[in-house]
Amino acid sequence: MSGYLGRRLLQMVPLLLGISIVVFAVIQAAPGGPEGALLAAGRFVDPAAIEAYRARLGVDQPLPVQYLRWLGAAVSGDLGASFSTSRPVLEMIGERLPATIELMGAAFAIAALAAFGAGAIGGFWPGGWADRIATGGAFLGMAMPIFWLGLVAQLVFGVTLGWLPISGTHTIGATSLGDHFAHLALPAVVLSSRYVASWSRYFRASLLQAAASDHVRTAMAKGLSIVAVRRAHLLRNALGPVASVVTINLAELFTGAVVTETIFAWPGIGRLFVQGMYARDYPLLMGILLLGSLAVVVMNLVADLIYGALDPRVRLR
Amino acid sequence: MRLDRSARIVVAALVTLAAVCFAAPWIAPYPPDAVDLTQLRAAPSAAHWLGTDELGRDVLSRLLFGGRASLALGVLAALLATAVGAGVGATAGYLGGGVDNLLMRLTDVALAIPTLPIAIVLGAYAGNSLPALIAAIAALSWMTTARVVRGEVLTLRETGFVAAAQGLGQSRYGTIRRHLLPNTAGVLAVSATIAVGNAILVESALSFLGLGVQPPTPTWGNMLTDAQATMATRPLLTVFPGLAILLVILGVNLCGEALRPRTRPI
Amino acid sequence: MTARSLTVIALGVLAACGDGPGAGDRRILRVAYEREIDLLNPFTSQNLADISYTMIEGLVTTDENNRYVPVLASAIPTMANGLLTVEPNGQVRATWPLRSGVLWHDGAPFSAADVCFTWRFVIDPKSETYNREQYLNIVGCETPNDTTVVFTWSGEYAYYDGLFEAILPRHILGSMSAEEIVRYEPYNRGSKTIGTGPFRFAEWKSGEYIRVVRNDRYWRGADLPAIDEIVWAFIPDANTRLNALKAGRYHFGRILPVQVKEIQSLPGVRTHLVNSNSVMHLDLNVKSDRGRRLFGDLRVRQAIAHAIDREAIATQLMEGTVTIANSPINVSSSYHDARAVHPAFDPAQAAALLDQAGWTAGPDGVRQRDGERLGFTMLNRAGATDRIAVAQVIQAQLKAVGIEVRFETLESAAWTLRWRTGQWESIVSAWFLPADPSLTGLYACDGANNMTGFCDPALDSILERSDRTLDPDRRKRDLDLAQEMLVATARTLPLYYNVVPEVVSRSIGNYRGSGTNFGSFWNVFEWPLAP
Repeated sequence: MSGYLGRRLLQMVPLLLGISIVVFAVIQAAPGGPEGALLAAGRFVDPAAIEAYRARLGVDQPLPVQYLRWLGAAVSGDLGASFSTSRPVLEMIGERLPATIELMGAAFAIAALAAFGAGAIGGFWPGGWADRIATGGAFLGMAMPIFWLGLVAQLVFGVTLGWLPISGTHTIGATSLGDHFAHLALPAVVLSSRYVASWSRYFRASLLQAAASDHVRTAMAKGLSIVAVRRAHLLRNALGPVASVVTINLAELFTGAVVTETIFAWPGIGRLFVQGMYARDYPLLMGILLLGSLAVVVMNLVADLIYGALDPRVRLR
Repeated sequence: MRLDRSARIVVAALVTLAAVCFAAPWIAPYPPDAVDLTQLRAAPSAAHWLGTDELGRDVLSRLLFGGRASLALGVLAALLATAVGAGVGATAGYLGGGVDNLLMRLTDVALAIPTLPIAIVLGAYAGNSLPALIAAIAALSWMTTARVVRGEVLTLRETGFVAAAQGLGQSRYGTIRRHLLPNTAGVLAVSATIAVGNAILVESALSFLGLGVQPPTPTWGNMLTDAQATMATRPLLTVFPGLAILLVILGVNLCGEALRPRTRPI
Repeated sequence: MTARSLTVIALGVLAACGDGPGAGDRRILRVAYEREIDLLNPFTSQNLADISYTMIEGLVTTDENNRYVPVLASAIPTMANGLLTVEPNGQVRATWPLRSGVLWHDGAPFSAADVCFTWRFVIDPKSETYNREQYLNIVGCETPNDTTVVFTWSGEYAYYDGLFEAILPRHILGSMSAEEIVRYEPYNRGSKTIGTGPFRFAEWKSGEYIRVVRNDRYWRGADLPAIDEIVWAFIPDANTRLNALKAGRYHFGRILPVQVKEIQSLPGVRTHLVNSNSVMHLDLNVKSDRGRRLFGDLRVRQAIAHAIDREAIATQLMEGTVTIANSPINVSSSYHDARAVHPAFDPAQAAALLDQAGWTAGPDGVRQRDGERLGFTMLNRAGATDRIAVAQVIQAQLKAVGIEVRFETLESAAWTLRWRTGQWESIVSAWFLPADPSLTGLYACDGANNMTGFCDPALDSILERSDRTLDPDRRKRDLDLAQEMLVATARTLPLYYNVVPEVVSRSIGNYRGSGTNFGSFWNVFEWPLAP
């Protein structure tokens, strides 16, 4: 097992290197440069100012040179300075990451609860009316474009009913946790809608599959009550694939909330990325994409480990 | 593949919708870009069954043309992604060894890169070109199919199926084509149907961010985005494209669900 | 866990309900701000306006009438008040008297040395200041005493009064090179962003808001500013901003013209349609051979002007929120020439002109001449919904006279690159002009912002002359002539002046909205905020 882990960790290095090259190429190949942000407002900008700006950022150098300079700094932990703010990229990401993690975490928690409920209903009473309603609701949430759902939620709960705030993480000046959770409520619920459907379906399907399997029937033949069977066998076996799916979705922890953050003015990484793209802030974009990729790779490893731990039939070689 | 009754109804509905939208140039009452400044955001009427939008264009016509674009985008992106994914996965699984390793590492790289951010970057190139957008969205979604197909191929190899075929004199390529792919068809069908829905959702997210297919070419995604600004006073303008997206995605996901339990190799 | 989280949410709801705008003893102005700030240095920031000017003042600012008014200067030098003199050698001396008793936020005294220091920073090529070229014509800066600055100009330049919109603190930045100042994070980020303005920096929560608090040492008097704190919350999404304003959580916010109807019925706020110095226009490009073939003929350009119904665009598409523009100079400026009027909407005349120019009706409805179709592309910027809407209306109107317009839409930075390098055939775009009416950069043959390829030496000499005079009447005559020549040559078609709808709570007083680059907060020091 530790050999497997060691090997996987070692494989991460060339993987991340490959990712960095692909990402760099894709970002740089997009037409236009960082001076776009200078000119976007329609202001008159002296060409000399634009040239000085570009020279300071080093964007006129050949691409391989730019990549190698970035790489050289990156391996020692320095992800460079943002083009727009001249601040260290790592610092900017560090500031915004907690907000995204919090939002995604809350969304996952809500989705997990809802999926657990819907999946369990479907798994233990398949085909019933409760199953149909739960399935329907889950699919509805997943099929609605998230920005539409978000804006409708804003309009209904924020404006018309006035129950919840619709932007920011807290009312400025207020320090209460309750105020903060009120601000978190709408974006987290809206974001969770995306995951509820697939998680509940996986959970339900696994439950059904496990219920039909041999050792459950054996356990019931041995006289275990249905409740005990559920608790001891079904849930554990069903959790395997679900854990895989969930951990893979967890990899989106860093970058999955772009649209939700934009709508609810949530100060996360997703919004930072969008702005960075408009401004062609290459160091910032590289930093965010690399970190996001790292998260995916790590989460995949975690998913595989969990699957191996939960399902004894799978041996990790 | 046999589907139960409700799934067949859903499929029929989707196919009908696709056909109607495809026929838009012939059956739409107005051209999709017919600007009419005297009829801005008009309510539904006899002349305009679903009303008009922010430039006085007929919503029904734009919905049909938009469906043409959105569905074409969804289906083509899904097909492309599935084809590429299946090709890569089958080759990797069948040939094994160094080729397998290389292809799977490429897949890992592509899988690791966060989807929506890279879609945003790709949206910067694709501009207003629908084929470019289709390619970009396909490039984001072929990886899972590749992995799944590879897994299926590996399973088939281990069950002696392949050895038997080769024992009977099948070439490598023939084996892939005639035996492996049909057996993975079930899995491919599921992921392709789900991919259609994903493609449409990605396109609408890009529209929201100001990327993706640009006006005046209508897609359901950009119609929905343009209608947001006046959502409180003219909610119908968001309801029609939003409902269209909702129904199609519900439909394809129900299809995907229906196909799933039937997939079992051999 | 579920019950507890419900309780927590309920408490949060109660807490949130209690926190309306202006709650408590402190008078806090809440602004729903439409963009996010990159940094606080007013010379190098790409998108800063309102926020920095509440903290950092300059020699002048602009008022609601598009006129320069003195801030740290106590008077603007003019020939009339004798502070502006032309020397025998052709140089010009501008003597700027400064206010006395002004303190920086940290208590250090403001003096003329700060002004000369700012000048030295701006003219440094590494300062990346967007209008550095104008400052280069100042050849000397003297400080005869702490409250007087004398600039020596190399000649007569009409825009001498619009510079120095901000002053940098010499006692903080004085020992650094321009490059170091550009990178200096404490000034960029707030901890040492020192100004003389009515508010000083308090807190910047990245991606969320900036807070500025009252400057108790403000030079205008102990009772100013009348507000204790301003919170600028970043809400870039237009729909969210509108919803936030409707929910009553903010005192001030800018919305889109198309959203004006959504908020008009809301009690407690008033929506002001602020006339902006930004002019939406249609440009044609004659740099390429094809461009010259299509647009080189004056009759074709005039036909295009006749074919476009600007009245319909302003009253119907923009729902009456904008005013038609006939000149790039804003109608509120004293240099605006009301006699320079572009042709009225007359499709029949447009058709006649096209016929005369040899473009006759083709089989598919598009005109042609010598086998070439009268069709061209319009380069659109993705996400610019208002411009794309206008472009579509223009496309339809031109189609009616047999001209075919195709769209090519590019993402923002890609569009900017093509636009800057002149690789486009036509474009609907907007210039955001400073209050100073100089048009040279836009329309001179080698003007830095002339991407169209139009070149008229006669216009060039008039524009140069209008820049190089200190006599406002002479300048007006030259600019009037220039505006009339622009109409006569039909090289650009101004459509309308952009409007910035500002939603202002009724509890704010003394609001005098301004559409210049200084923005509507130019007089925030005198805004009272009712509880």
